[in-house]
Amino acid sequence: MMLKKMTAALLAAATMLSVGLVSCGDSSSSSGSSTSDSQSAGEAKDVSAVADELKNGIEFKDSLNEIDPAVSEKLYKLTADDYKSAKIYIGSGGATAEEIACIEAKDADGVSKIEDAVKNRIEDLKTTFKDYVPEEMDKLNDPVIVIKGNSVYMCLSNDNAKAKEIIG
Amino acid sequence: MAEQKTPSPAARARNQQNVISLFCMLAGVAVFAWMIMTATGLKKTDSSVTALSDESSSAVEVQKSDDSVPKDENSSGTGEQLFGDDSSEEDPNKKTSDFSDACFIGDSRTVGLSYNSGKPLATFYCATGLNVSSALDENNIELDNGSMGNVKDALAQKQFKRIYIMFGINEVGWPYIDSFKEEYKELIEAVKTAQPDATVYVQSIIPVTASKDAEGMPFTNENIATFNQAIQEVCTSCGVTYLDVGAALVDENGCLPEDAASDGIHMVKEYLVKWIEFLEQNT
Repeated sequence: MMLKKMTAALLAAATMLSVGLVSCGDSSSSSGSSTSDSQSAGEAKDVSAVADELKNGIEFKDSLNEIDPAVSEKLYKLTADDYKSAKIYIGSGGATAEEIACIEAKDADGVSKIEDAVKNRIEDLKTTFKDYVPEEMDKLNDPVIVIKGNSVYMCLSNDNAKAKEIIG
Repeated sequence: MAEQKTPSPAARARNQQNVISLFCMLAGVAVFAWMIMTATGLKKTDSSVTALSDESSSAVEVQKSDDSVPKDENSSGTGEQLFGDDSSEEDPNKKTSDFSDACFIGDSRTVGLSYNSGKPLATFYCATGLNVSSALDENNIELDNGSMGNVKDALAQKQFKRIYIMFGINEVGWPYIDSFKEEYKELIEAVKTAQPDATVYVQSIIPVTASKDAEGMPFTNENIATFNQAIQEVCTSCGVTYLDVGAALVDENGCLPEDAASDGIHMVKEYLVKWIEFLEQNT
């Protein structure tokens, strides 16, 4: 009888240990899992997945490409310590102002810095395009910026309705 | 004897509680240790890896990218400036291929190269709309300290082994080609003075697509060829190397292929990579 109870206790402890290890493992290997753990249902989606969906679901004039983190950190004036994960698609440099930036802050306190970075990037683009390709100012004056949980989603395109639908 | 071997119900309960407590403590310690390990080691790696979704970049580049990010966050403006990190003591061949010893100066086409060439360690002093005149006269480049400066100010910050200059697409509408030549010459001389030990390469103006050419002046390939002839003369006069980059990118008709640029001028990634590959192979 005592042996049975000890076995049961052992099993319970092992189960606790396994659950603990699995949940920790997820948070270090997948931002998506971590986000769903820390956010309530229906909040922030995985930034990488949303960025891909925006790129593939919207008809852009320019050819958008994912840029290296070193480049995106410079453009958005962020450091690697400012965010947990990010995916940024950018165009050819001068044809259009089309751009996608989906950035997840490390915590709730970091969201406002990401939001400011995104807004400053748009201001930089306005300075660039106001004389160079003035028609791009329509996108820049009406950008889609959505904040959900710890994530900031920005899309500069000709289809704001679709962008909002994808971001959700 | 039998009574001594059989513990009382209270003693059994205490034993069971002790065993359960022991295993719960062990489990808690194990979970805590795992969380500490995750927070200190794995998570740091994760932030870089998650950010680096571009499969073309190596882990070494990610590490260096963190180092290359300037700390000043109060700056603004349109000039693009990506600082290379030349602190590594790696073999010269690798240094050459990552362009960490190189500086690119130019207009929106060079901005596109900075975004999409896959060379985050190269330095770019470029801005959309920049031309041979404004490069020296206007403050369009973000400097190390976060303020804005011209190309000369930017070049004063660091010495490079190679300088690649490309201007002209914004100037092909200029009415006097001699003014272009004079301004370009002044710019090249300023670059040579600021970077006395660097090899200076001046790149040709890359032609436009046939459809852009068909729209007429100023963006015709005939006009671009005229300006490229002027650039070659300036290069000879200044004693710097002229690079016909366009030759590596155009089709059999001398035009940029239609799929190379959505607006006929600014190239997509595939052609920007061809451009950087040309430089890798020819300089």
